Amino acid sequence: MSIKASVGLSQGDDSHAVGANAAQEALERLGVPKADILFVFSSSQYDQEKMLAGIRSVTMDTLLVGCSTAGEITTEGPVPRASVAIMAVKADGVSFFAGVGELIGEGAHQAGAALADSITKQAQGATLGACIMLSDVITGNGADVVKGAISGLGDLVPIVGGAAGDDFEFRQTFQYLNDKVYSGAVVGVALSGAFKMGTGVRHGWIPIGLPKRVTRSEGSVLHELDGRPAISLYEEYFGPEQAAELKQETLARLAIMYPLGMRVKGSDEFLIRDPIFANATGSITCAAEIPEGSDIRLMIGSREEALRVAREAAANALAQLAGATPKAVIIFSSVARSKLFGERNGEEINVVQEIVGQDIPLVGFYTYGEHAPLGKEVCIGEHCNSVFHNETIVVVILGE
Amino acid sequence: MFNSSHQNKKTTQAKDAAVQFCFLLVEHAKSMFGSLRVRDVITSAFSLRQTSPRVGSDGFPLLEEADEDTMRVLVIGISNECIKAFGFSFTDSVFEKAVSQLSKQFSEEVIVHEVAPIVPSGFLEEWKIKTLSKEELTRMVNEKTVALQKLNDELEGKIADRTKEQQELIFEQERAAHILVRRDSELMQANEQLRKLDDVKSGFISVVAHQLRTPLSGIKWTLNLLINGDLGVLSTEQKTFLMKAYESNDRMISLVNDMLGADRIESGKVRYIFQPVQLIDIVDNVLFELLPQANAKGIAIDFSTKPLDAPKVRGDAEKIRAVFQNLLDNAIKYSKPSGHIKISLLLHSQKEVLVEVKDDGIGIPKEQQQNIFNRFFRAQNAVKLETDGSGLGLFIVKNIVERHGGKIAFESEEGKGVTFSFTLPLATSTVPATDPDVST
Repeated sequence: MSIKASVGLSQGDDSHAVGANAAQEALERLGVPKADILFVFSSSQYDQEKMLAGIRSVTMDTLLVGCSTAGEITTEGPVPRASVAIMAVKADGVSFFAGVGELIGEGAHQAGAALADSITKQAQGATLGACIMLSDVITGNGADVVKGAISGLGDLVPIVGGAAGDDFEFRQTFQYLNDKVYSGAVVGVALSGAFKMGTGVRHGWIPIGLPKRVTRSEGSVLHELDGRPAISLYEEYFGPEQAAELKQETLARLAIMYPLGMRVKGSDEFLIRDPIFANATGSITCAAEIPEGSDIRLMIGSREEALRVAREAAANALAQLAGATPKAVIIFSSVARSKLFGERNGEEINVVQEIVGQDIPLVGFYTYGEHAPLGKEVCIGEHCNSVFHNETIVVVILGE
Repeated sequence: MFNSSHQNKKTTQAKDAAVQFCFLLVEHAKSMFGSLRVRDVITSAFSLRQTSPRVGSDGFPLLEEADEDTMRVLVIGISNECIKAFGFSFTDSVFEKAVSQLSKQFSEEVIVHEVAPIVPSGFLEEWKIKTLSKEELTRMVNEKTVALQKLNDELEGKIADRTKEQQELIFEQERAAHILVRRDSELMQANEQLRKLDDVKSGFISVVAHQLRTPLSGIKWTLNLLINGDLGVLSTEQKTFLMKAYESNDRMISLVNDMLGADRIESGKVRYIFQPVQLIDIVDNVLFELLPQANAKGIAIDFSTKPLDAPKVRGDAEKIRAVFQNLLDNAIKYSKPSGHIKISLLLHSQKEVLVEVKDDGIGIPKEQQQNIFNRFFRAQNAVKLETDGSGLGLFIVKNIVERHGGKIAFESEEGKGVTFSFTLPLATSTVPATDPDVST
């Protein structure tokens, strides 16, 4: 029994206290005086520095990675109000190497590569079995961050994780590494040693309407579809009344449930790209790039499908453990799914727990993007194709 | 072998050319297949056509008496057999040989006029091209061209129609897609609004309830002092009235607590700790508390179906207690004097326990049933009774049961009572105190 995990949760108005209480609860439930690593997912409503300081006052110098969210999730399901959720893990026989890549806004690829660099330097040649990465897509191209990380880690290390959130404001997200709060950065931790990990990723969104061709795009900025400004797609579909709003509100708030999907090799589902901002000329900045010349479809979410595939993702992840016992579950679920399910977002977590086990410690958050290997999900020892996703649920199971 | 009497006669008798052609063909066929076979082939060709020409003593049709149709059938019959055995090219070469032999006797003109009609199309094409006049050839080509053009036009017309249909379908589909997305988006937004409104409502209730607590506590404390005589001796009458006030105040406090309870559940401030729990103990405990109330109304409570070795359920004892408290409190409240309440625990589907709480009180009217679990909802007949109730009890009960992974349902007929039934999952292991947030 060398991997132990526990979850602590706290809510309230005092940022410092909430952090400290959550950490206290997690450690008490862990049953040992010190954890090896803490995963911290916190509402962006709290004073981030105070909250982190609160946690550190209890956990001291225990390795810590985390980020702000668009909603926290624990073993008891999605947390309805602002909270701090912490998973404490003790794993003899596993080494953790954590790092950060800053300033995604100045170079998403470089930030990912910087993170990978930091990790590999610490690892000193140890074989890395997995990397959990928490990034930011408001300041940069989510897919480029992943590519940057792969360039440093190599493609034998599966990259899982999610993009930090800020309660659906789309203004600024935060990432945590040990005692420091970053913004617009990517933090991550690589694991090496005796553990098994299973990952499942699915979205369940379905295409609607005719395909449109990307006639002009640059990185994650979509300029034109079929020769017309990109925003015209949403104007067309949402109708004139809502179209007026599109220019004022952050596009993501209106359109995140109706993202753009493109076919990719290696996956039977469309790869989805969320629209985040629109500018005055009608160009749309997405969470990751859509290459020029791609045919894209508007995607629409179905609660039934989304629930069904959540079960599939959980089952896939469990199958990859190949008989190992699940010890901890980490869920990265797109905020769009939380909106889709509404009050019933607990059902998604329930079906995962039905598959993995009701009592397995579970932590997670609602993201602005997810990281996971594409399609063929078994990739320990084989080449992984870790990519940036949107609209998915990524189920990560740690076991032994 | 020729009939030598014909050899030198370059006759212009037209029919002879055809006859000679057939004769030559038959002779060639005989040399390839043998007489008997050729005769059979010809005979069956005619029987297929259901005609029987006059035959000679050798069994072969009399060519001189044959008309154009007959000769055509004969030629087809032989050519089919030849194609079967030797292929088309070879058969065509046989035809060419016969024609070239004929041309020694007959003019090209005659052959074209008489022999061409009895030769099936496809044969002697090369020869036809050579011998046909330019005008005839041009005519034939034009005919074919017109026919092809016509076919092409028809096809193009069909394609245009299909394309138009498809485009119309695509257009309709796009329009439907637009409508779908628009509706979906409007619904999502409406839901969002409703949720926000709900939040505002809950917030308001919470604030009010909190505000009421203090003054109500104040009244309770003050009345307590008075009733206990701390502020002076009271007459019996005075004491009675004060106690009535005290009771009323307690009822208000209870209502306010209900509201706060619902708010706490909603906002997720309530933590659940799941452990193996013995239901029988909880029910016994709750019944003990409610006994005075039940006795006051003369209500009998039956809790006999409790197996002695009942398995434990996985649950939060405090919350489960609240469930029973609520249901039984309601059962007593809405029962008529001398009513009956029955509680039963049953093992259900090996994975859960089924609990039933049945009373024979005022029941729930059909048209009110769908709202019974809604917050703040009280059925009309309950309100009429002028009993207390915030309408939160069942809302809280449903919330708790579902958090445990169970389901709750009821059956009722107005005036005849109600049976509430709910399930709770069995504890999965016999190891004591498994906290869900810790792995072992």
